[in-house]
Amino acid sequence: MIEHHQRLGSTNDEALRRAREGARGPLFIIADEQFAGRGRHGKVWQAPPGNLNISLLLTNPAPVAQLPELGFVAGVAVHGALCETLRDAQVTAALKIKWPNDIVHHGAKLSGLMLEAHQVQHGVQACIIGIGINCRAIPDGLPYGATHLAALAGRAVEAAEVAPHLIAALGREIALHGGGAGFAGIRQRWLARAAGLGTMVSVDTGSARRSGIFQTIDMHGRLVLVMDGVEARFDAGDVFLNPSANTATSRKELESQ
Amino acid sequence: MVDTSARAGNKPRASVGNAPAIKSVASNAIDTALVARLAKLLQDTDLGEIEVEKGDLRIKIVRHSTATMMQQGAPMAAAPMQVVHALPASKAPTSAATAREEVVQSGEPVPAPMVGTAYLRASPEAKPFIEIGSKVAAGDRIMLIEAMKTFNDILSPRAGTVTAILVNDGQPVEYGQPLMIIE
Repeated sequence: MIEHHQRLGSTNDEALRRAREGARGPLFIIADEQFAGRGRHGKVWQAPPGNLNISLLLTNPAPVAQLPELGFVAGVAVHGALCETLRDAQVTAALKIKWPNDIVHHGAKLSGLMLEAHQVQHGVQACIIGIGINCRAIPDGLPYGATHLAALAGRAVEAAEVAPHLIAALGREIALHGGGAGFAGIRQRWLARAAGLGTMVSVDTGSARRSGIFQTIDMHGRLVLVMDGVEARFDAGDVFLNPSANTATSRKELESQ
Repeated sequence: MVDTSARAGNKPRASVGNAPAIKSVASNAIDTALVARLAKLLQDTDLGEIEVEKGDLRIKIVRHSTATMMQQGAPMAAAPMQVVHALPASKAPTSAATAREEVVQSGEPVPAPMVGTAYLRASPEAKPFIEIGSKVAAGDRIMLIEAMKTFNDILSPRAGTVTAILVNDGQPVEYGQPLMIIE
């Protein structure tokens, strides 16, 4: 089911409210305007008018320990939807997924995701995938580079044009995930679209910033960095890509290790 | 190959480190079974230290190792590894540090349902969900675990009183690791 609202505080909050009232999904909540969007760990997600704000409510989509995999499922789906919207192969070749699930174009952020899992009743785990896509505007004062679809397409791009692609892509990737049994395939699809793979990246964990060669993601989806022959894995943190990194060269370096 | 190393790398993590150093400030005989139980709890939970009081006996157990490094050549490990988790910017004193006499009393541990980073509050500025002594109802939110930008509510499995919080805000947790004790 797809619900369209003109104005909501947060599409994730609305999806959760519905789950607590008994909705079991799949339920898509779309809002033209979102005035209290949330990001990671208390951060604000700003949504200027014209961008796509959408949340998907699923119930028990995977065993609890595997719920974080849905972030990779959603990341691959958003990537696919943006490629289908933009179509221009030259532009889409530069669309990548930044760990764990932002879509970037030459490092500039195009979309962000936040997932939440709540047990709404005994044995009923509501998983909410919140997605924000910059269609025609970027918020002011961001601490990172950002862009929007209209700038990349060279034409107006409406949220209503992107939404059908996204809904179809989510359905496709969730089916591939198969309730968790298909995560190996999702992981491969994610790695094929990963930003900065084989290059030097930094991760800010809130208390420290660490750099290393981005080697892969592990079986849980954790970011694997290698620095001076030591492997470090991250399950939370903000990733910073090195804009001057040359992927081909760095991959060679990686292979020679 | 990487997946294999992940599995191999995870297991030794909980038991990595030196044997816990035991400092006791006791005015009477030490309950060795209690100390052994606390030492095991320390290793199982990855906490830096545990302090308990029982009557006029006070025991503090401290683990000195903080690294989670594996040496090259460890069975099945492709490379030495380190698991790094997020820490919140705030350094507010945590309830775990103030856990005292109730720690080893009766009560059931609440296990982590997944690998990730545990948070005791919704954001670095927010109040903690619970504190030692908090009364909780079944289904109350007691913690958050973040894994790969997925935020998972941890709910109290039963009604009772929080007698111990076994993780710090922003601490890495493994699957099944005890998070807190509810009596």
